[in-house]
Amino acid sequence: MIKYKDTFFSFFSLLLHKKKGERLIFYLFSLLVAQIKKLRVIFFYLFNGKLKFSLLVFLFQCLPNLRRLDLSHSKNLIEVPDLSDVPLLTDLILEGCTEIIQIDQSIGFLRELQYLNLKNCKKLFLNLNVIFGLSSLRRLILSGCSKLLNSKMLMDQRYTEHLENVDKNTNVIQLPLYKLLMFPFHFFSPPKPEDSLGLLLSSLSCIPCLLDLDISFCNLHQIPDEIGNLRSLKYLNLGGNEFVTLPSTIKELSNLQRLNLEHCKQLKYLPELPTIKEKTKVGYYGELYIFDCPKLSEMEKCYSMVFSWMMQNLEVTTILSFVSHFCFVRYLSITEFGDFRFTCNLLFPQLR
Amino acid sequence: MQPTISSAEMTIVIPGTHIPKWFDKQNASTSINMDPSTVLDDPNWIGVAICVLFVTHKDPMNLGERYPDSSYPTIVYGVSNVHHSTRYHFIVPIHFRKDLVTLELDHLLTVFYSREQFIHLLSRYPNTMHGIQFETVVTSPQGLRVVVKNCGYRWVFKEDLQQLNSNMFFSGNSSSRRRNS
Repeated sequence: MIKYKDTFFSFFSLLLHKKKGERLIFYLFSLLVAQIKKLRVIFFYLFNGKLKFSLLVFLFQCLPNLRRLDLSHSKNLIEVPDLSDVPLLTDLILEGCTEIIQIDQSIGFLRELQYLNLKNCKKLFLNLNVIFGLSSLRRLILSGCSKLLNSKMLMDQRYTEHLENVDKNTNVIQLPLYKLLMFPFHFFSPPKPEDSLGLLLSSLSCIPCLLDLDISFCNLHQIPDEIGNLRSLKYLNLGGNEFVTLPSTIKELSNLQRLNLEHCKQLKYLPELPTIKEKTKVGYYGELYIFDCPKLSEMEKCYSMVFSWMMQNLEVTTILSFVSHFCFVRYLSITEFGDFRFTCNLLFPQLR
Repeated sequence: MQPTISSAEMTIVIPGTHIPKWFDKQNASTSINMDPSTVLDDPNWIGVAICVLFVTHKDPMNLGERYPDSSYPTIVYGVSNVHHSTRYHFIVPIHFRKDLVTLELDHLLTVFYSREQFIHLLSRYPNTMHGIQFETVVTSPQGLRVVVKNCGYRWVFKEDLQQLNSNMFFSGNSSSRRRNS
């Protein structure tokens, strides 16, 4: 017999490791859920990848206040049910749900959603226009979702209907509508595999606070020019893709601090890199990863581009060094140089 | 009131076969000792630039038993004090996987800490300036052997920045990019 410990959770997880205990789990969970209707966070690591669709539906109905839903590595999850029962969701993590095919379109109504992680959802197909509705999105991880980003977007009735619904329900989304109306004309030219990515990027450009976009290992052969519209972006991961070069619009990403180009095996030319326009008060952390790009040519030019990227971003440091003449000032708060404001802390050891 | 620290830090990984001479202190090891006491009081000192040369070899003998999780970081780095047991490391967020990485390709990891940032890092080891070092720690994943060949650094002063150019910072690397085998 299993000798279980005092804590409820270790008992619970032991139970879940038994294969035939599903009915019992369901029962236990109903009891548990009834007790904690205000539960805000659910981790499904406990489920050891065995997660029932019906259980999810049930949980969503019970937990209207749910904020964080982590279903990582639920290997037998094929579909995510209607999410309109959990409208306050801020984090949705489906990393490693490799069998997942569909997410209910109601995901587009999650106005509070800030973090969406679909890493390695290899089979997922989602009509990407639902992204329009995610007006609070900050981090979007689509690493390894090659099917999602390489599918040809087909215009069908359901697609437009859904968008009209979205439009009725919010007044945030107004700008992109003309683009959608233009969309049927794309049928005159055969759609390229990149079309879905282009559509995604134009949708994302309407999200004002998007910080982090990870579209690595998606088998992308080209990055559309629209990438330059994501002005709020701080972190961009394009690693593991098949493109030869990047669009020049990348230099318009004036808030970008981290660019990852690892394992871009076909990358031949580096574009001009963006430099930061507005310095942050808490400091600048620039990161550039050009790792394992064996076809990269004109190294001289690459070096000089990376070098000037570095120097331009380091201007802040040289200005700060001027401040360091004030050796006796221990804390110098707000200083103003023209329209350049920053807060700094001068820590001098052994000032005594 | 706790004021915010305004500082800069840059991390670059780029192909390259050797550490340029501009990094005037070098050590053929995974770490290098630093003595900041000479620069701390110099008002013209603005930061430190560090360079690390590393390469990936094939190693069928490495069964990766210690860290079977493939998401475990391969290279981490940081400023530490040999007399302290606590280490603060930053992860280099690049992936080394047997079926993914190109073997025998040399790369440089370049890190720049501004004066403020470096002093902030030192403040974790109060009361001593001895034993400060920059170190890298490598954990090779299954089937691979990732090797840090050498490390180098240079204290950067204001006048350095005026003279510095791309050639000095990455010198000689562009013409001699080769694949060892």
